[in-house]
Amino acid sequence: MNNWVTPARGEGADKPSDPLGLPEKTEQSKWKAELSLGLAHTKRGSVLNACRHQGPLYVQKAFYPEGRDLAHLYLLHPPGGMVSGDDLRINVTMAQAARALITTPGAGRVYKARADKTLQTQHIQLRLEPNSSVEWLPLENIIYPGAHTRLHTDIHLDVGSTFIGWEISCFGLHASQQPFDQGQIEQRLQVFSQGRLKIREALSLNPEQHNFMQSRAGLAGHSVNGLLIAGPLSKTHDTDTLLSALQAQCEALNQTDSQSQKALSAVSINDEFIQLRYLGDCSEQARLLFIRCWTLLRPALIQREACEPRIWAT
Amino acid sequence: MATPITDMQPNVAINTDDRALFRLMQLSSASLPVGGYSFSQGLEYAIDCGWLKKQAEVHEWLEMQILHAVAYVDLPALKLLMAAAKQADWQEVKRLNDLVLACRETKELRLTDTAMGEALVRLLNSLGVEQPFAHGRGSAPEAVSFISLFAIAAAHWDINYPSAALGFAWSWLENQVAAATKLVPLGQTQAQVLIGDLQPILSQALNIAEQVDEEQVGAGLPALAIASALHEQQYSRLFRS
Repeated sequence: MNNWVTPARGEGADKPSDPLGLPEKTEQSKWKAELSLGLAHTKRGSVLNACRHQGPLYVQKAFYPEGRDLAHLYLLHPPGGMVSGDDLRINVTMAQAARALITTPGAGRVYKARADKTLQTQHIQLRLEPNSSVEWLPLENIIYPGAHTRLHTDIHLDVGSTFIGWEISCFGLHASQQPFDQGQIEQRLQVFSQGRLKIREALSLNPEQHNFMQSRAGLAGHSVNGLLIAGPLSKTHDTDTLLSALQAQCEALNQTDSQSQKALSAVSINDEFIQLRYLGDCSEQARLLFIRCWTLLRPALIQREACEPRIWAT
Repeated sequence: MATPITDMQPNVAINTDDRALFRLMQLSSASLPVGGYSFSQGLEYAIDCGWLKKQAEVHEWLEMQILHAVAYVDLPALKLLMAAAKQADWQEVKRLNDLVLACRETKELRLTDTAMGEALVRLLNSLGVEQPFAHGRGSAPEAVSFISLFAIAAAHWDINYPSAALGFAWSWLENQVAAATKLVPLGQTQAQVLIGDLQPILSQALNIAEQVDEEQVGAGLPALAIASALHEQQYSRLFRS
């Protein structure tokens, strides 16, 4: 998938040079990793003016494949996954009018928990000041059978700021017939606008307690769940045209004949936000659908043609 | 006079006086003019496209909706909203109203809640029940959740939370089974059997909701949300979207 060197877990995966000190590591191998990024809009465009990290989580530099006004950032997490007790925190602050597209070079993995079932947690916080934008386009999360995890994402918008982002989650290892048949997942994504809660998407899986995964209203037997959120839309947007274009993308996917590629998707404009969903068994299929939809959303929401981050091509 | 309605759960004995009980029945009745019968919450699409064909499949669908959406969103929100409404803390009521609407996963699910909410605003204004949401001439209508207004009315009429929750859950079930009756279709007797079979599931939801705090409010049913979004595009439909 990528060329990043992936040091073995716990073998000096990271040596932070900043004054925040070494990653916390106890005998039980608990990693606390935190990354705080700040972007500002200056005469030199959108620049990374704050970048502090603790533990094996960082960005190397900003890339500018489409000009200085919008930075492309790759979040690197060399261990590539979380084990029991790991706590990953990502905080991004976009100053007024700053723009960024953020992605990851590899899938995020949440491994089987230890016997004591200590939680594996990830908390992502994106703060957008007026007229800024963030595109949050990570690769999928793969949640191994037996994982005990809490994955939270909070997005705080302000006047004139725009968010386009997605979350693709693979429950279990579908290709190797290892379903998510034990463990616990608690996933939540919230969008606030000027302090008011606008969206709270929550998903909770506990296969030993209920048959949510097989249930027709739940995951309907599928193992990959995807959610794309974009907005806010305003009265100036041609929402009907945009909605029809997105619906056409979903319909094309829903009509796939191939039995192994059977999937469901749909889009709704719920108040000021677009919610587009994928339910199937292939993270790549979900990602390709979301990329096609992002290509449609981007000109409408941030007045730019799609420019795929280079790392997606590797 | 204390009137026990049910002792279905060991820990929640429901006691309420006659006046409150009559108000509860009024609020939970299918004749409350809020249009609950005009929505199917994704059920129409699910039946139309053949996901659900038999009564047992409808049962399973509604069971998931009760144990997830009703137990983790509607009922805990009702509990929090009633506490705020009791104190006439309208700022808190509005904050919690935002929370409920934020949990609605599609335009249809949100509209189900706000169309019924707005109808109840008008009704409560006519019945002289104080409520904080702007409505009528000269003010843009605010998006109001039905849960928020149900909570305000229940608090106003001194209905306690366990009774109000029972009434809310009952009217929810009646609406959904009525939708299924038209769509599958089911006979009147089959519909009554389904209502009876799902009552113990409502009791489970009431128990779950007791333990759900504000942080835990929220539930996602991905396939139901997709059915609901696809319903918005369905060519011909009996129910609103």
